Amino acid sequence: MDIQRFLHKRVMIPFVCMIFLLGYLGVGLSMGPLFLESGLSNENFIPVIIAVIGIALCISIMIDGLKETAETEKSSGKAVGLKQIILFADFFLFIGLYKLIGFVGAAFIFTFLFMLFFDDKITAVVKKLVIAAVITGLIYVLYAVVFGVRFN
Amino acid sequence: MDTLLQIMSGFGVVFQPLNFLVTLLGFVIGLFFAIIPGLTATVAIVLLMPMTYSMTMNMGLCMVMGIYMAGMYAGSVTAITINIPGAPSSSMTGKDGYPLMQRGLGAKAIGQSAFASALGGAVGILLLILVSPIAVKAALLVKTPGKASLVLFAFVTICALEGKGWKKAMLFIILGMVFSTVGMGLLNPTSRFTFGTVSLMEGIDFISVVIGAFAISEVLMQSDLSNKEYQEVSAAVKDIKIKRRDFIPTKEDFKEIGLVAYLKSSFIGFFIGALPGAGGALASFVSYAEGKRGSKHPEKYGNGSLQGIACAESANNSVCGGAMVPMLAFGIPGDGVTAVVLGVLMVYGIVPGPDIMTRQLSLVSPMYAALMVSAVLMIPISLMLFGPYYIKLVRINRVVLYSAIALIAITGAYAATSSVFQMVASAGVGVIMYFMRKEKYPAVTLILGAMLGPLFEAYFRRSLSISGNNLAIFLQPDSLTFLILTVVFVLFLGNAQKKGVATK
Repeated sequence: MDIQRFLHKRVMIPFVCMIFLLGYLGVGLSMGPLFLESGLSNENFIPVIIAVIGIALCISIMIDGLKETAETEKSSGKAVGLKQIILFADFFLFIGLYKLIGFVGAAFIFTFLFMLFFDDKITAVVKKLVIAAVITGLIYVLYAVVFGVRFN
Repeated sequence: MDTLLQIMSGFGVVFQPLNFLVTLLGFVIGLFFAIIPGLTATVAIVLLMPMTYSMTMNMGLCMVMGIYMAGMYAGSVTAITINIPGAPSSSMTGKDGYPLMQRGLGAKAIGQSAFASALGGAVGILLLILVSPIAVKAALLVKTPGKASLVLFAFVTICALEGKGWKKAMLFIILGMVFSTVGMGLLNPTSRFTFGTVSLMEGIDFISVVIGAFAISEVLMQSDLSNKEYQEVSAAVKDIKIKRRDFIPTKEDFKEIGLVAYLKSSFIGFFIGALPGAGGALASFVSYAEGKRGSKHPEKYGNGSLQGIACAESANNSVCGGAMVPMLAFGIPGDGVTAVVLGVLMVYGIVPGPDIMTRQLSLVSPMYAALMVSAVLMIPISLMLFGPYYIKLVRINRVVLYSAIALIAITGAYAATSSVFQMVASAGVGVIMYFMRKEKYPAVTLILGAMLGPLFEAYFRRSLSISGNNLAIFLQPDSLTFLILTVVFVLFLGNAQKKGVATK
């Protein structure tokens, strides 16, 4: 059996969704009966129905994915590389830093790192530091001064 | 008469200096986002949505409408000049625009695209005004079970439009609905899926989902492209020179295209726009196919037909008016942009329904007026003023651009909600969407699921409550009509796709 077929994105994405929906269904079912004693539908009524439909769809998409990967090994997009993983992490780093050091510091570090890793190569570091400072300043003025948003 | 007065008052509002200025600003922002490949008007509205919170309602709506109309039009510039549509709705324009560009007639193609967009946009708004009374009457006839069936109709239509990808679209609608169920119960004051966490009690805000799905995921998608690949695009722009005088369409051009082609395409665009989830891309495709079918010179299509450009552009701008009908009458967005616009309306406490198109028309008439002003005034004027420079925007430093967009997006999630949790939700949705978009899961369906899911749940459960859990309540005439329409559309779209007409 070719294990690679099962690890393909076309199969793994619906598989992960299915696991998520199974958990969602479990929580939904633990909320009580679908109909209350009064005969009215409970708050878990729709969640349970959509979870069941969603799980069926995930299984169907997984089967389609398995068939497609059998026909062709080509992925429909570029693989996720270190660059993308760093960019994901940058968003969450911003949120963590925002709570610790406030908007200006967090935004500066976020923008600088984003520029550094969005680019193909780590070059022009000083230029990027300056641009990150300018972007941070402009966006701070836009939100805090023009639109009156309170950061912390 | 009262309707006319209310609509005229909308023009009065738009022509107030500050409102006119923000409409213009929105239009310019829309142009910018539509011209740069990868960015769309939806992303522009999503990024600006948190900013509109601190504006007056009229200013916010004027800005959004400016972006919408510009977004529909300006994608054609890159489609014509470098054969890369700036927006999905401009895909068909490039088929004829680019061959004209190669023959040195790019300015003529851009000029025709602008004229057709202006005309299509204007016809779309006029039809919206004319159709509104009928839509209101129809909306009044639809009761709770009918509304549930209408939302179901919207869901099914959206999935059917995805063709072979309907399962992915439906899964995304369900995931959108799942997001919307987190927080307080809809009919009973009990918490759902919160795991005792206070942050989850507030639920996942619609704007967090929108920012994550459209803006953050788009920025991540763009990171897949290397500088070298992008430079190939911008290098093509280097030698392009466009003169203003060549933009003006000639009498012969109009004769070649014919008034019927403009009007027919505008009508097609309007009615496709009114279909939930259809949007400008489908409108321009159908209109282009119909234009070719009815043309005296179908062989010119695909080889530089001005009529082809006119058909595609009239239709996709007319969509703006059409998409407003279901959004305002029923709260069902016609496409991704109107889904976000609906979010903006809700922020200002505007509840869609028949009242909004009759007694409260003055609330949304500035929207109509802003769309009309954007179509009739701003498209031609902006073309003559800045047309030769539009294409230079493609050469902007993308590293700086996308870094700024990333910061605006994540900051916007906080600005709109004042919640760090919503920033986390937004980033999380963005990352998930990045993976799923790479596998061709359509982002719009997630948004529609998140937006319409609570409506469907409320209508469906209320209907059950009214009928004592008897499903026969959904066979009442209004509901049955939508259920039959659902079946008809599935069959129609299925057949159309087999014939290769209704492909994305």
